[in-house]
Amino acid sequence: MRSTGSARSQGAGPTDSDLPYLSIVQASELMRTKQLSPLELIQAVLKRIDEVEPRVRAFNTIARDEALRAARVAEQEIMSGRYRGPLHGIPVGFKDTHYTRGIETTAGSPQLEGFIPTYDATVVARLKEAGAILVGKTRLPAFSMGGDTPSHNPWDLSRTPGGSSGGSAVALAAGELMGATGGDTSNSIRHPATLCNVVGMKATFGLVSRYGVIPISWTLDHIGPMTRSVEDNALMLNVLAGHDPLDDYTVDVDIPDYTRGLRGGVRGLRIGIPTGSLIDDFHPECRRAFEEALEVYRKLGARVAEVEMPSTLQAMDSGQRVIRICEAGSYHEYHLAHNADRYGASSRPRSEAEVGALIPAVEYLRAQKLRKIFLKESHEMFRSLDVFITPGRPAPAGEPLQFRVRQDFAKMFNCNGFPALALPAGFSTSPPGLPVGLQIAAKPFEEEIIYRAALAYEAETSWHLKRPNL
Amino acid sequence: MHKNMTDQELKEAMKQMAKIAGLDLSQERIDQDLGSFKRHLEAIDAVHEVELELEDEPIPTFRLKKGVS
Repeated sequence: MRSTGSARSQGAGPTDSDLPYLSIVQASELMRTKQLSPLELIQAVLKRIDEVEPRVRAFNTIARDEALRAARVAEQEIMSGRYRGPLHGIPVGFKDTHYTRGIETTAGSPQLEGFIPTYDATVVARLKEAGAILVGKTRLPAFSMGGDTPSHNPWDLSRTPGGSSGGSAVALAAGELMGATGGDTSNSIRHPATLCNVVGMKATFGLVSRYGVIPISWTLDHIGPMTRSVEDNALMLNVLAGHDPLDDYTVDVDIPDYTRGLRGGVRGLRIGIPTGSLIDDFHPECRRAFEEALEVYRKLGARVAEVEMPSTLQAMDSGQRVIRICEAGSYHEYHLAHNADRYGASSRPRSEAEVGALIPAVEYLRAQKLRKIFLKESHEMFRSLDVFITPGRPAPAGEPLQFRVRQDFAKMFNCNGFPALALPAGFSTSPPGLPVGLQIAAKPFEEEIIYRAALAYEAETSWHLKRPNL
Repeated sequence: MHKNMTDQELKEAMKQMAKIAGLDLSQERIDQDLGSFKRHLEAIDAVHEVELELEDEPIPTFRLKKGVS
């Protein structure tokens, strides 16, 4: 498709080695205008995977043949005028908890080794329908339990990329994918996104289907897009969001075009932040980046003010644990009863599931009662806010903290279901070069405001354009 | 209550509760799970610090939709 006379063939566009780091917006425009073929793009991405994957280990499975086959189909479709939209021909990966028809789905555990689903998770089906090309299944700690993915952080290969959607974040940062999906029960999209300098959206509970996704905890699990830029993320959510009759928790609401209001700016936006004392125990580099980010917002005309947190916040973090482990114990009941010896060396999922089975139901229900109070308080907290902004994580990847962090502002958004996005916010200076991030949260189904606030910051800073030296 | 229990007492409690739950936990598994079990008990204690009203209900997970059947 790289037609003679095209901008690319005359040297005006990106070189082949730049292709894997194009944004979705850039790549789709090149494909739409037939200056770049999906096959060229997938070949460049597979070449990049060959180069860097042995060092970063982002994937459980690389679906090379399937990707090339799908790229040829996409090329024919675009050439014959059947362009499906901005994700057509875009290389994407799925967390290895997301069912992919005909492709092994293991959740990173020997328990599911050899399991080949006969259908796609709804998020997989929707992205395929939009023309996205499945390149691989990304790594995670077994059954998404634990903060450390067995991959290597592209910004420092000796450090963790975070987790549990760590493989997705690593693949994006390393130029192996342009978009990916993640799952977030305690922070598992936002945590690795922050540590790897990418963008991760935990959408409102009920906005994105969980059908065909191996759960940790049905009432806390959220699915969302991970990308290298805010606009790319909004493009992916446009496809992922929406009611799914196969997931009872999804909500039948009108889905906006999330790219529509992206450039509306933040003048007059009411930004809430935690009181200073609540982040005193964070790493100094994260506090510095946070203060600098707030200065950017003030300069852009936003109003920043400290807000009072829900009185049940700390107890709710503990309640999140009770809910998560009890629900995990229920999901794992079959494995524990029939194949307990197949959990393998990583005993964390087995331990948590076993202990979950020992917690009395009344304690689980008490935690869910607390959650109702917490939800009411969360609505009160957001009444005078448009967005709530915190540091993305208390510390850069693998950095020790002087004190035990009391509150990391992460699980609260799994408990109340409000949307929250992590985005790049710079790099540490000591130690040098480790990503730090920001988290932006909003009221339920107000992802548009989050994206608008995130894009305003991204446009001023461009941290997302930095590439790791691999 | 559990704060006054020794590790041995907690392990014995785990063993009995596992039996009721239909789980055949070996001594080795109980030893491995003890840390996780203690963290759960601490989490439960923290939840109990919030006083609930008699009328408080859990967040709803059961909803019917009109016109489905």
